[in-house]
Amino acid sequence: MQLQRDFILALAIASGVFASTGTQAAAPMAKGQAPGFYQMMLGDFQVTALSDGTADLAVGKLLTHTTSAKVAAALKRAYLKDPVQTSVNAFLINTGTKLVLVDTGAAGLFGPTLGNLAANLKAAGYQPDQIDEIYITHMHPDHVGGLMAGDKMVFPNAVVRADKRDADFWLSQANLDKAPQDGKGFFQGAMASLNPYVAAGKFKPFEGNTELVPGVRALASRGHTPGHTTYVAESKGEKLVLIGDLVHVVAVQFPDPTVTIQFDSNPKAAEAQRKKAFGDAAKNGYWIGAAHIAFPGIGHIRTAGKKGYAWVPANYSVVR
Amino acid sequence: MVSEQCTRALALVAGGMLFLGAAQAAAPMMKGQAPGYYRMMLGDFQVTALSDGTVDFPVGKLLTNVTQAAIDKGLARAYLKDPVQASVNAFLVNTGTKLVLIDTGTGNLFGPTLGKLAANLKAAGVQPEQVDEIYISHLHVDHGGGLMAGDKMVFPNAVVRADKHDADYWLSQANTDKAPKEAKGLFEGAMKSLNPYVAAGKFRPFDGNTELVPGVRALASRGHTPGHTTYVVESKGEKLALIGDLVHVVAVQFPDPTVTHAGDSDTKSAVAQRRKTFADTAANGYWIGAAHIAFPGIGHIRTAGKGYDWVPADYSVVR
Repeated sequence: MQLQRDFILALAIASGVFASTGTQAAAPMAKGQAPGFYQMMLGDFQVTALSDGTADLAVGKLLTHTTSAKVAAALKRAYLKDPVQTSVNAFLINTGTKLVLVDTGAAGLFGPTLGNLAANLKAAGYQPDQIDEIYITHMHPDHVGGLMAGDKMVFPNAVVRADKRDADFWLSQANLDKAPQDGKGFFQGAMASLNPYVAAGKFKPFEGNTELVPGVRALASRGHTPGHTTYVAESKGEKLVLIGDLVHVVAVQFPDPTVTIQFDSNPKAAEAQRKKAFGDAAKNGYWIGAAHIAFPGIGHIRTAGKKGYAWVPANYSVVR
Repeated sequence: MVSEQCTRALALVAGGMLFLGAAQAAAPMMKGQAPGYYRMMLGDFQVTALSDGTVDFPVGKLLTNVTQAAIDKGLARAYLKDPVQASVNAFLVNTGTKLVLIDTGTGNLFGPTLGKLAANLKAAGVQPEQVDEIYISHLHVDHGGGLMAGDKMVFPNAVVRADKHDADYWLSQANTDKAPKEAKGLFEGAMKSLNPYVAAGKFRPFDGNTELVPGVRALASRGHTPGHTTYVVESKGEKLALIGDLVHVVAVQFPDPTVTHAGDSDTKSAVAQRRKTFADTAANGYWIGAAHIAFPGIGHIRTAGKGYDWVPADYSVVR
């Protein structure tokens, strides 16, 4: 009896040992990624890149004013394959007195892989109700969608600002009515996201170049949409230009900024704005932040070759 | 009575307004960064880059076989200033049956801005006790230091492996004794980190190219240290070479791979290994992971003029 009990005990211990090796084998493959925020100082300001997630962009189909062979060659040079998992980024600027959010991600308007902005904002240590001002680069759904969560305003204490020309275009019932069937979603998304703020008296459009809060100003960069706007943050001689959708695919549009995208309202103007922004950033060496450059989407631009440019992503650094 | 109510109402209003105003103004500036891990799939394997933190590299002092003008030019072209905040990365490979950690960060041997590896491993969902195997690229303190936390083994269930040439060199009391004073710390750090694993029968050195677990092998890349080793991970036709310290400063050593590091044991061999690795990677297009390339330190290499370009991994989410 005692012997048998000892034997069972020994077995139990042995199987315990077995179990402990079991915990060491076959760890599950994890999904997802670390919380999507990246902070840097810009003079006295703090800028935090916020990831809304990533979405697969079928760049071969979407890019225009190029050939599929050129696109394929450019992707290959960057070790990428079509479709490209593309970042959707927004940027928080803490000026010391104001919290300014530039763009808001897609919320549920662009599929389940996006809509992570509010979660990442919280992971970075902020609550949505702390946001004072929201500046929209343009009213495409992946930039304004995050203003609303269903029928709730995500940023109840914020004033929302955007160029009047984008508001006039995307919030117009007449434009929605005359839009082709596959284009109506853009208008409906903009309206669903903005109208509650308009109704609450929280939307204050501006027209063209405008100083918004000390150290942050709007700079018209119309073309991708009628009122597409770049936001310039400056503190203590350091400068960051948030260029929204002036570029979508680094691998293709940096070597050749003349390549456009189907979403451009006015491809010629969009191309001109991209060339101007790249040329000026390369010449003057300030920081760039972009909505669709690989997260965190912050870096610099330098010339490369005769007509092209190279993206220089920020060197990973920890704020101390 | 009316006046009292009025005062109270005013106080409430004022208080409320003050509170509202205060809540929206002057959010504090944040320190630090998001948890430092980055995952990717490599065939059936999962690789997680882990940040041990960053440290200021005085590039002008650290790099050798180069002019200050060339350094300045390389840094300016990359929009960097000396000192450069440099990453210290390690890599976890989940083969499906084994958890293999390549390098361990600094522990407490390299100052307060480093030593974050165990915290970031946990943030990534893995406990140190789960790690089965640890492969050390070389026994410098920013690679082996994380094996110990004070006098405790951080990875009690792991076997530690490294090239015998590095173990023989850095764990030798005779070498410590004859080392110049300012270099003794490197030997002492290696011993402090490895000896407890040696004593516990948990350290198993190998000699040169060796298959370690299915899909992960050691490839001798000696030069930076006598037993510096690259670890090659392969699954389903995808390949990642973890090159340890074959490069320290992308902005300078990619345009010119002949630039060396003051810590290289044998600069000639270190240059030869860097050139060989860059050329092979650029020709064959596999993934590279490096200890001191900006976190996550994973990407590709392509030729650029007489030198090379670093192409960092495009941020992607594992779905």
